[in-house]
Amino acid sequence: MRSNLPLKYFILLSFLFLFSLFIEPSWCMAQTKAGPVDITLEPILSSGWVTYIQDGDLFIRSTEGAPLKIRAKKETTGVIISPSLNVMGSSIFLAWIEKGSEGSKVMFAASRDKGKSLAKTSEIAAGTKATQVRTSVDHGGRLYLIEALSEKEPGIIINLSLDRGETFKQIPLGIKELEFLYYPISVTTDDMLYIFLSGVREGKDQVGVKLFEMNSLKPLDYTMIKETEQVSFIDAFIIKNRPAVIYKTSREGKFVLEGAVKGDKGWEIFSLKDAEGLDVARIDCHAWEDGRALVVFSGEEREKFKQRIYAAVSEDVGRNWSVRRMDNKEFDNTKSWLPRMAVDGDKVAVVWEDSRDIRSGIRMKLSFDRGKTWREQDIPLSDARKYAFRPRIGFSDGAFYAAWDQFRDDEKKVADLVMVRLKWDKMLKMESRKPKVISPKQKEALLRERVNAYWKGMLKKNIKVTYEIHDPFYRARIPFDYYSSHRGPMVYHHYSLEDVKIEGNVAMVKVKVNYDVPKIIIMGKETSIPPKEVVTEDTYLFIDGKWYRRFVDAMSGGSSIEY
Amino acid sequence: MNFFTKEGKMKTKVVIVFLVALLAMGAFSLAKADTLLFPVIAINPGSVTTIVSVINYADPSSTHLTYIYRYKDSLVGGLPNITGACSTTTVTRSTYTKDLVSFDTSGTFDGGSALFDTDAYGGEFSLPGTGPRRAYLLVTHSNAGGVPQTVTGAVSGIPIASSLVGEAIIMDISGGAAWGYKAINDTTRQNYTFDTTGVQTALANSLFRTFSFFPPNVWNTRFFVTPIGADMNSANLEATVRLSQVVHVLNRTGFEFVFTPPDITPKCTAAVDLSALMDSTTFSNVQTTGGFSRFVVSSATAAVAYKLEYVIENPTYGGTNNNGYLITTTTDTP
Repeated sequence: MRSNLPLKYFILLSFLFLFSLFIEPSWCMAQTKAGPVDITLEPILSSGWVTYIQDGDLFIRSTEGAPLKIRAKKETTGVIISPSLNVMGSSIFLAWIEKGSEGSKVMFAASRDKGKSLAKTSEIAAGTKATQVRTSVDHGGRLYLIEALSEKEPGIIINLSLDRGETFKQIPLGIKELEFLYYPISVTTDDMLYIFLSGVREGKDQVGVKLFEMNSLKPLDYTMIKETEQVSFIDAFIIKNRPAVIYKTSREGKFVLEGAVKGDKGWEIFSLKDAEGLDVARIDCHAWEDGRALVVFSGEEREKFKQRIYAAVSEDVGRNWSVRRMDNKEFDNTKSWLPRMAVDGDKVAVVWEDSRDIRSGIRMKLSFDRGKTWREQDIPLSDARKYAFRPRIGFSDGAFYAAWDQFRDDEKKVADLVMVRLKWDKMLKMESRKPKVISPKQKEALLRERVNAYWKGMLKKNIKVTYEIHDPFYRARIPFDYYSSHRGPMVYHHYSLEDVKIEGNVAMVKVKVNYDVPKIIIMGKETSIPPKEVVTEDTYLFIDGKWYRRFVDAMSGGSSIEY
Repeated sequence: MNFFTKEGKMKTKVVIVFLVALLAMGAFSLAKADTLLFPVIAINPGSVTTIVSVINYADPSSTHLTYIYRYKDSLVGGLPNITGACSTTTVTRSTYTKDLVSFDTSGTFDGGSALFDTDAYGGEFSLPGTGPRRAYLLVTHSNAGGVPQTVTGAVSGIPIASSLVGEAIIMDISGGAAWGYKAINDTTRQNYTFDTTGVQTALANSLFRTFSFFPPNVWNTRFFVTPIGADMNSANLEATVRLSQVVHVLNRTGFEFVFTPPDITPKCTAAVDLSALMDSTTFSNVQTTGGFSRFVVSSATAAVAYKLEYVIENPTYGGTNNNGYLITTTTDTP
């Protein structure tokens, strides 16, 4: 037999081409996994490194190499809270608090060989009342561990290291003007450390800033920037060498995003007017050297639409902002929220947690031009078969790094940390893939078919059929035997599908049913319920290409899946 | 010392005077350790359990809390044990200011260790032993040796006498049913005595509105609110509810999430989800941890409100479980 190599190659290439059309983008990415992880702590990402807790031990890892154990559970003197990670060249710095009955300890660890080994673990403070610790590194290579003490003599403690964490000098900054302080966050510019915070003074809330001169190691005065209502979060950044702060508060009963930039004559207040009334869950900020700033955030308007993703841009050093919606979904009956951003020059990548497919997944959006325009697709980044949440993204050494937590199955009990390394050209390829689209007509036909199958099963008491049509999150928890042994006494005789309304992957279905209860024992007496006709309203969810009836508990109205 | 000599008698008198002086100065007085009473603990390992949650507001706090179980077998000779006496088992575990700890007294969940929590408490909290038992539980501030310790301060806005708050759910994990209650803190005294007057002060105390909640990614928490007032046969009364602007929302390790709590105004009667009482930032921060807060009726119109928590078809808890208890009958802030 003659060997026909060209034909064989052609078949092989054709097969690979056809196969690639059906591969989910995440399958093409090398994924690093660690688990099971403690999901009470979101992944903390810095450059290409992530920190997480597994079996009570604190780790760091990148996409390459083995994870590095920083602190074993048996060594800790309390629960690990507030971890903060920072990478500077080949050095990785990690600080955290161990909170226990003997008070809290502020701990610090460093690796100086790109995470191959742990160089140092030290106790920075003991018996402290610190509730939060953050690390940062300035352009001069100075390393800061900033502790926050929230109440009963609130204050800030700066632990400053000039030798990459070998030694620290402790500098307390009392803020006697305040009764309470919350959410401190710092930026540095021109050898000045700006610590922004939300505080309470004489019973009134405010946003303020405490300055610290780094060359002289001298704290300067605390300054109130603005009186506010209570503040939910604060973020800070540098824009054209000026420190800026942005925060969420409320005004006249509406949520608002406000901020301030340091001007020549003091703090210049700004407001993202188009975000007024939005309940913003979280923001992420970036500013370029020419004064352009980009803020990505998610917000909802209660009883109108669920969380969706926005981008706010300023071209004039934060004075004025234009806000536009970023995510690209047809209906807002599912949540898209908690965005994070990474930047490489003009290129921007944003990731967020998205429930449009009902099972939460990570989506990504790209911009070539610093957020001026965005690519069309909301790219699915995580495996669509796994419930993924709390994403982070960073950029380092020519690559983007993303990390998120992911449940192993639809029971949503055990989760792993997933980390991927992405190059821009690969990200663009992912973006160019068109999502599989099903026509509305076809989708409705599938729904009607499924609803009819369910009710035919109810009439015939075909429990296997009705069980399989329940959503996968319910079935992941409830085995068939339990389901079949907990059927009610009702006997269904007739049904008719009255109406369906589909919005994205969620449908409301009205079905008129006729049923009776031939025999029921109430308070010891046998009785029956005569035939009744009722209209039920059920929710169906389109998951993995099929419609499923959402299980809803009759008494509480709760369900196994929220979106 | 020979007590029968003149010298011995003199020395004895000196010692007695010294002891009396010490007593007068209170050196021998009992510590005023805030104490919480959980009046019903029902245990039948594998089928019935009681999950207890304790919030510690003492600041500075004692290093430990001591949990005193007074328990007996539920049945004697197959019949309900009505008149049998109780035995005592004590468990001492570490604590800190603004800690929230939840545990299964039967030891079924997580072997009796702290639930939803990675804190190192030094061991399990459950009542050792086997078989169905009934108990009540006292929780008090103590040192590592279980000796009650005086509480000298509390978190701002919290009276020292109310520095411990608690609640319990009694669950049938084989069939899926539950009920629950708030623990009692007699604010008139800080010892192991609970009487009618003292218990009723606890029920009327604003601290009664403090509640804990399990992780919202697993459990749902909801408040059933009915405004009360005149002409309830026809009036559409409205009351405004929200979460406390003083306590805010704290997670299990006592980190406080500050936010402007939304006002919700139920008319006639309504069910208000916990998530509706928080802003989205706070909800995202406590979604996987749970935590605690305080329920407020801020309007002039009072309301009766029940807290309901439920888990849906989760085999860990026996399927679907619902628990509800009264949280307020009045208007009260902050």
